[in-house]
Amino acid sequence: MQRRDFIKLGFAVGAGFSLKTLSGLFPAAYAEETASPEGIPQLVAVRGGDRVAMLDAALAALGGISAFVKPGQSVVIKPNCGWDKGPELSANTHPSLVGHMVKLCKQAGASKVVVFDHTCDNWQLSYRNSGIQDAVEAAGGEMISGADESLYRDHDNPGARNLKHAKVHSAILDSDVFINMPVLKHHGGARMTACMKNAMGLVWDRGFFHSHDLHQCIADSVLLRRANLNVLDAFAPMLRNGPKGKDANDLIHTKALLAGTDIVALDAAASKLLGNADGDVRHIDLAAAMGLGEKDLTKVNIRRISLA
Amino acid sequence: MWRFARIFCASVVGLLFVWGFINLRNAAPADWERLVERVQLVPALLGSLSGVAWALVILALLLALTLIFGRVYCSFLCPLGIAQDIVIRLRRTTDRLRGKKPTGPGRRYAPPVPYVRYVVLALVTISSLFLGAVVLAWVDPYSIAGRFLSGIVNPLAAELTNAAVGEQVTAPAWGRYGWLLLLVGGMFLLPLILAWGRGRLYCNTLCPVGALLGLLSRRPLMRIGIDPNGCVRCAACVRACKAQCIDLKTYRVDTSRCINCYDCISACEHGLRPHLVNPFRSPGSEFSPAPPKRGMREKAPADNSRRAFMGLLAAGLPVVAASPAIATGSEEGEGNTALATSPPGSVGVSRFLSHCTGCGLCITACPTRVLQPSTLQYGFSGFLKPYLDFTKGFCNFDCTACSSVCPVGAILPLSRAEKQRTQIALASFHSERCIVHCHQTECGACTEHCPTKALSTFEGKVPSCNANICIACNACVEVCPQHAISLVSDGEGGMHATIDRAKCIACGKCARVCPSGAMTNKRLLVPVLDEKLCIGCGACAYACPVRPERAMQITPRSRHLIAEVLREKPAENPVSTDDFPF
Repeated sequence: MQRRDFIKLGFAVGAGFSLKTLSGLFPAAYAEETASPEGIPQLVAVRGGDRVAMLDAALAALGGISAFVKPGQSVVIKPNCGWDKGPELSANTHPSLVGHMVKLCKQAGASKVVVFDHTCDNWQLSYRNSGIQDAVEAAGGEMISGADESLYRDHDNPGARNLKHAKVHSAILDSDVFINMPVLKHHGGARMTACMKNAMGLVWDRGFFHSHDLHQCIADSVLLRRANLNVLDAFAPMLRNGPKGKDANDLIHTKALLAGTDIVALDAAASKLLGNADGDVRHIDLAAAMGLGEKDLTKVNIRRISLA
Repeated sequence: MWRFARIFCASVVGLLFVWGFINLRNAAPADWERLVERVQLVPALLGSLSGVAWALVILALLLALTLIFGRVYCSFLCPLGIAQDIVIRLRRTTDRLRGKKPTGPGRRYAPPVPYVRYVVLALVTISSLFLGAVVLAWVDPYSIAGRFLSGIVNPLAAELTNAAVGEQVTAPAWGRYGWLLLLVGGMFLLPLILAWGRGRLYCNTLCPVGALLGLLSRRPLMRIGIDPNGCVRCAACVRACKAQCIDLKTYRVDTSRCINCYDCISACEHGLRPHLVNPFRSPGSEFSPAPPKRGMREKAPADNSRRAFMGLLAAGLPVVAASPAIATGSEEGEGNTALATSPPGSVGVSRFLSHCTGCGLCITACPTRVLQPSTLQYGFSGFLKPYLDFTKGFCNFDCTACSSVCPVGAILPLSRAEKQRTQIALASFHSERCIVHCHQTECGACTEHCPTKALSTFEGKVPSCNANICIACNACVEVCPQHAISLVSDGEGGMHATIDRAKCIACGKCARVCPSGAMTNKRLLVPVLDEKLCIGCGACAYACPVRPERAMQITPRSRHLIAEVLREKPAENPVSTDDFPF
């Protein structure tokens, strides 16, 4: 059996089982069945499909949503929803992905699924015009505010180098499961924004990051709460003028999605999708040096899936 | 029937008016939600002067209504009038419940207060000629009511909603007016306190709109008249009258003070009826003339002042019409900067100040809360009028809320595309305070917020000099194209190079020529500003983390300009999409 055929078969089996797991009855068995001989990959890279299909494929390879969400658990999903921009401009995570993830979590038996971001533009406009609020509410999730300091709690971050204290959103601190769901973009200050940079939206005082070595603080922010799952929307990444973007000309058509548990590996792979060389994005190197993940992709168990 | 129509209309207008000033979800208001803010006299008048077509139509309609019916505006449409009517109603109901007789100073005919209303009107008119809507902003009843709703009712509504829902739906904006809330509340309460004791006294003394409409309603076509043959002088109408303008001694209703509440008609069972009057016959002749009374004045004292005022008005009107031209003309010549930033669509600061009455509608509608009422930011003439406070927020790129809600044409409607090119202010970059230059770490807070990409970052080489190693050879000083490097004494007889961060452009030449290794570079993303593309939205300054003085500063434009738009070719994928690049 060719490797490619095996992957295709694995995906077909996974898709079949994903129907079964709607009941949430056999999560452990399901995870075993879909696991590759090398075990669950740390990084799944999918390309060539529409966003929702790629998410399904990635989750199947990771053991299904039930490997991450157990019945009765509360879930917080943190998309990038920072800008008052429509979904077609890729400034925010695509609403179809966020909505689908909410649906999957509910199906896996999550007691509650909340979604928020500490936005850069006005939060109500960003929630509404990104399409994320509608998608989340239609899927049965709850879109909560991140716009008031009272929603954040003091949190010690002893493993960090610079960001040793921060006010972190209560939903992040209190939920059982944290799903990090950013979008891949160029960034005029951090060079790239993907999984690690998304954690800036967990804290109240973003200015601290900028004034205390941005890259180090981004690496430190991974420790505020380790995400149980990272899903990166790289369908139409913004190649320039990020992170807000100017118009649709800024986008490239990568048609990819990355998912996994190793946040450093995800960002290292994402960095390549934007054409960056090793070492270009300093926070990846810093995080790897802090032992937060593996930046050398040759050492990472990667599952590559093409839906084209 | 007449009274019922008035109460129905006033209730609808009052509710819609309050609704228009409550903004909880930051959604753009629908057309119907801002209708009642537009059918107001002063907004329509100012809008007409700004050349807004619908304002002219509304003004013509309001004036025609006044000529036909009298001051229906004051009872049917004026928000401050409606608020007074509610107070008057409360007073009369409590009096009745406490068993008080409907008598007292507020329940009888009172002669007009001489001169006051015309003096106010004259002051407002004259000041409007030379200063724009400076005094008008203080006395316009629409604006007084609007500010009260914007400053007090809107935050209160937010508090109540949050309490009812049990979570923070929206942050109550109490801080916007600050201590000015006392003034805003006081200006609204004064007419209401007067109303409790003396009915619509405010409307016939201090209100310039009342004075103006009073001039037009000396002889309305459809007016209230008393038929002496049917009247039994029961004085029910006099007791009902809120304006104290029914004189039973002469059977006359002072239509210049009558606010057309039609309470008298409902009270009367005998001779009082509104009726059509032939405008070509002398007043009062449609009934048999009333018998002359002892001590009756030949003429009301207001008449003299009225005539004097009419002359003044006739002389002044052409100047009023020309006032916007005067205002814009004075801006030319000097450098195009102002004390504070006016909203996009206002064309320029002095045009804005001469038209804006500070009603607070745009302040309420602004989703980012960058619009704040000014105290003295514009100077005295801008008191209570909105300016953009870039420490509170920044102007949302896609938003045109303020220009779409402004009922007076002070902020003219802009399409989204027009707004996105309107340069209301200009950013300036102060590299001597910038984190990238001074701390040598990447930041990008300013450029990430810039919607036009006037601010971008380039791969720069930010230098730093180790004074302990520097041999003061002068090589860097000579090579620096910006003359940003100089040698300074270390106080112990030695010299070393120092970099003026305000001039440095991060070109990296200094480190390249340094023979001692004292001058080193760091490759960093360095902000750079293209002024031609900047629209002055203030996002960069708002986001800049440097304190106390920020590295991004905003200079208000006195006259707004049109910015250029950056056009780029579609981005090309740097890697193949056939397979993963890892």
